[in-house]
Amino acid sequence: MKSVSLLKYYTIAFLRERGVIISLVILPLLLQVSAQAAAPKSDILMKFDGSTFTSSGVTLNLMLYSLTAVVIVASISSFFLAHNLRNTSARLKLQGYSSLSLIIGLLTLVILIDVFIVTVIYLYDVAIISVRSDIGFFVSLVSIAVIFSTIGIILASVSDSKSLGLYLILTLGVVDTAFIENPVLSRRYNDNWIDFMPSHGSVKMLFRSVYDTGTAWTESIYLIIIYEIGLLLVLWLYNRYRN
Amino acid sequence: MTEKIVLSAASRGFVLVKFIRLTLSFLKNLFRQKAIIFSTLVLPLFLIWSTWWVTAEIPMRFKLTTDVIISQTMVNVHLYTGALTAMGLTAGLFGFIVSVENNRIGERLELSGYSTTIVNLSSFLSLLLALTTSVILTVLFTLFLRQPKSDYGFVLSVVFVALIYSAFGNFIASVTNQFTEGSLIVLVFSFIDLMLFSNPMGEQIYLQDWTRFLPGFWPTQLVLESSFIGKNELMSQVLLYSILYALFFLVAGLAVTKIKKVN
Repeated sequence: MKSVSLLKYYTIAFLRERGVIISLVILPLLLQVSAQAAAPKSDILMKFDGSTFTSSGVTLNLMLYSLTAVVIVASISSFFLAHNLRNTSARLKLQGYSSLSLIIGLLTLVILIDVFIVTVIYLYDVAIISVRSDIGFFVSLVSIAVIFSTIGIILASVSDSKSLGLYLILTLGVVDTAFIENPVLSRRYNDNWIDFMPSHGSVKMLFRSVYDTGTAWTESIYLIIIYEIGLLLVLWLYNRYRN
Repeated sequence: MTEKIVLSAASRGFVLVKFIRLTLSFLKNLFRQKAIIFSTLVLPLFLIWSTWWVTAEIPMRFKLTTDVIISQTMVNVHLYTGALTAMGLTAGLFGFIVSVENNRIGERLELSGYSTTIVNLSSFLSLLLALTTSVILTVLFTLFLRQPKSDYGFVLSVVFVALIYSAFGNFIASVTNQFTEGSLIVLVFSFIDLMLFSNPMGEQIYLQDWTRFLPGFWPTQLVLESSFIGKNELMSQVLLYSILYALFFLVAGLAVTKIKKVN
């Protein structure tokens, strides 16, 4: 019950920012339109899950930039939301709210924001490209958004400096989704350590839901769940034992 | 008459002293927050290193505005354009965050007699000075990973991108003081410019006529020309456009701040 009233309070605080529509709708769409316009004309030969297939430049660009757009928007909005609410959360804690209810309230709002961002990008993408599994495509984008939002909340709790936290989350997000997790451009994609990167499970799911790789898109869902549970545990423990 | 000249010179001198003192005070305030300075080093170093370490050796062939055709591997192209993107993102976000903070202080400073113009300009100068460390490290680290044919053009491209995007961040800070939307605008705009439209990676858009008016276009052309051909033929265009862009963003920022105050 406490989490529900917190969710209401946090939502009002979030919507107080006038430019919220610009941040959540226009900017990710702008990135998608640009990626589509700049996509290579030629088809690209790809190897994934051991099977070889070709992809149009537009499909590949839109898919990879949808990842980057989701990660950037979700992580930054959750980071600033959590950072702006730091003092309020500390006061609420003194008034008897538990760390768990504060986390649940914040996380619920963040997940709602993530679903909204992903829906915008998903609707744009499926209007242009055809994917193997619509649900898989949507779920993979939501999963990566939730993972990076949780990292954003953790960084907002850990880092006192807005700028340091922003640069850290951005570095991780851009390096992971735009460079490391790009099976076409990355020469490290088949390394074993990549399993520990936050977006790995979601990228696998995304590729399997867009292309017919011979593997079900649900195959890597366990990796995503384990990663998210790990992050939530870190978040809860940090908030519980801080001070 | 002589008295008037002496008084006007004295008042100009006084304004200059005020400007320098305010710049130093903003700079001191910035260096007091060590995390802010440290944060400007995180993104460029990681981004440059990861593009170099991760990108595959795929062959690339592209043209410059001078009609010269360059054949290179993607990792080499990414290293230099990645350095520019990293610098653009860092300068833009740093410019935005610092300017938002300084604008808040500025409101109090104006009450004690400082003009909006002086506050805005000294805030911009202080953030440029604070960015120097980041620019130097970005240049040194890229040079350490791969030596361009002409260091001079490469270094200037990084400096110009830092100048343009810090002015852009400063401009966005005068438009909005909300961190989420401001950061996202700076981020998405610089990313689209430096990574997609001005970059040979954005195949279908690259070198279209209208892209020449993007702030990152000429520095990107110069970095490719100097790094792979060793010439700096585009230097005059880069110099002209970069200064014009920085001035435009600075003046626009100032105008927006003043208009907001009138309203």
